[in-house]
Amino acid sequence: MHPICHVFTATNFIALIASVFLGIIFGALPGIGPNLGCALLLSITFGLPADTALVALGGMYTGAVYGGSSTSILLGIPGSAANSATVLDGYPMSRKGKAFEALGAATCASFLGGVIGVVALFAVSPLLTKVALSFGPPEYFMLGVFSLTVIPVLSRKNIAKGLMMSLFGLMLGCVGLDSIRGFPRYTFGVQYLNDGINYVVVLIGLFAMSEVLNLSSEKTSISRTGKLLGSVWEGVRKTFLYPLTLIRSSLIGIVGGIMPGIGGATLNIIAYNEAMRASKAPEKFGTGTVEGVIAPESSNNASVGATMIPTLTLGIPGNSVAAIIMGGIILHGLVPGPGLFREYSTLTYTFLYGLLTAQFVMLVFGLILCKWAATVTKVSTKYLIPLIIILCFIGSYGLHNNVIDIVIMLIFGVLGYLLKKQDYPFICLILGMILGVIIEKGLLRSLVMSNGSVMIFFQRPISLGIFVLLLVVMIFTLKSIKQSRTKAEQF
Amino acid sequence: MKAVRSVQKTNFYDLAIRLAFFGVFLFAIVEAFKFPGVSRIFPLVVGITGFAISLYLVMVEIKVLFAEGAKQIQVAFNLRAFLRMETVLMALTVGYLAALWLIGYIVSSLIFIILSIRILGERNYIKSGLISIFTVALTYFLFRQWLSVPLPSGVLW
Repeated sequence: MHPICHVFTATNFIALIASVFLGIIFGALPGIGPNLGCALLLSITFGLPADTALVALGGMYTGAVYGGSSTSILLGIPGSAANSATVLDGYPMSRKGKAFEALGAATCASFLGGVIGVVALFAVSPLLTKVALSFGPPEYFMLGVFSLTVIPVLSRKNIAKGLMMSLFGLMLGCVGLDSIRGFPRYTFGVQYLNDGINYVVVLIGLFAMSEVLNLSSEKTSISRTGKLLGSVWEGVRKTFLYPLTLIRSSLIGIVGGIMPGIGGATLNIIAYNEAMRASKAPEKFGTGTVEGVIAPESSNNASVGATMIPTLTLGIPGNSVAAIIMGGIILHGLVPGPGLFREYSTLTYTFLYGLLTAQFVMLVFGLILCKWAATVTKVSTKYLIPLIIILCFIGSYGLHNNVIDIVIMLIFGVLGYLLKKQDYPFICLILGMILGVIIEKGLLRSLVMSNGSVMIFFQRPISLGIFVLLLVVMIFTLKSIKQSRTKAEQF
Repeated sequence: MKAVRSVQKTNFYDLAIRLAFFGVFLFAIVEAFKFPGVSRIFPLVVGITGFAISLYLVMVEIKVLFAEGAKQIQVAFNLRAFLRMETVLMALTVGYLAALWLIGYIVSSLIFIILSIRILGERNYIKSGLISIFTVALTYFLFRQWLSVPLPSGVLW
């Protein structure tokens, strides 16, 4: 029987549908996300046949990554870090009453990105894995620094403020034990801080809690007009108006997803910024443009298939969810690695076709659920605010079962409220926090490799190539910002 | 076309934020010197760069303060408005956190929701009570019972 037929056996298909549905729900709940969803499902799938278990895990992963977009758009709470950039334009769209359109675009972009990611998994796994494997610490360092070049784009109004926020984020990333010697930094003797500050807690505080404080004085609904304008199909249609954004973001998701340790949290921000950088109307980003929803959503769903590439072909999990799925693969007697596609081809391809089918199931569920979910933006804020606060509390507490996470979330909530009033771009802070760990690890390990010589960054071709690209991008970005400022001053 | 310059305004609230960041980076640098060997490299680089940028931002704001033609000193942050709703809600949220720690999720959440809905303008206690019970029951069964996500339990109850 062809592997695709295995996906459509009654048991497997029902398992797939159920897991995608549950994944969407889990993804939408702050603090649950794909990690916990797949971990919970893994414990249930012990007793199931291998093909059913793997199809269900793939479905859960797909659904959960998409599910986070709904709370990002409707409530301004990123379901997971992989949906953090979706808040930037998705939530303003909801405030304009365009929740239907935003959800439609997110669903369609997630579907298309997901399909592109799985196709990449089928088509170019060995080649992409080879490229990803040639990345060592110097390349990771350069890539991290390169990702920081988006800061001027993110903070067009005041680049210095954006830089300061990202440096503050980098500094927050230093809190905890350092990655080489395990020395506690900025922990003030508090044991909890040894693990560092979790960026999901910061994310919930900065985006959701600060918005709650903003909403409290408005006494309306999330949709300022109290109405829902447009339709889900309008969002779907608009997704096809930005094919380049979609393809570019999906490619970012694929390439980044293959590299272990990068993850959807970074990729969706990079995709958002690249969309902004390439846009003819970058000033509209952050005010509720559909392109700002398409970019992060297509990239994070494209990374679903991509993270499975090194997991399946080399046995190196691309992120924590891939590690859980790899656990499921091993539990059912398969050995991830170069021989997987040869020795267990039927099961492996059943999993891959299952992942592809999950995208279609996700699309159907997404489009159906959108219509119901969007009505939340019409509910009065006096009823929504307590619910959002409780979700923020549960989401923060659920990460480590520690009240200190809630305290940190509240601190960043107040900080976010105060900073928002003065146009400090939060997203730079989050970007700094996430990239700080990658950059520092890359820097220190490179210096150890080269006995302290910084020339290692310029002696390796890929690292040098990224450095040259970094310079080119910086020059063009600064030039374009200068031009747009001159235009603004003239008019 | 001739560029039109607006009247420069000093924003004390923004100046305070910039000074706070300046202080944070200064503190980060001082602390970084206590770290051994390679552990201090990255925090130092970040701290010094952050210090320089925050200093620049502070200087820019101070320059505006003393600039010729700075006709208006603006306090963009409306303290009175802030004290009205946001502070009350934040105080209630902090109280909720303390209650969570003391009496656990269910009771503290029930009280918190009723009080916050009341503060936000709902006069009908029956309505707010029903919403509170429904929300707590839904979140409790969804997270605690179904997903096995631990919810805060109090030290007293």
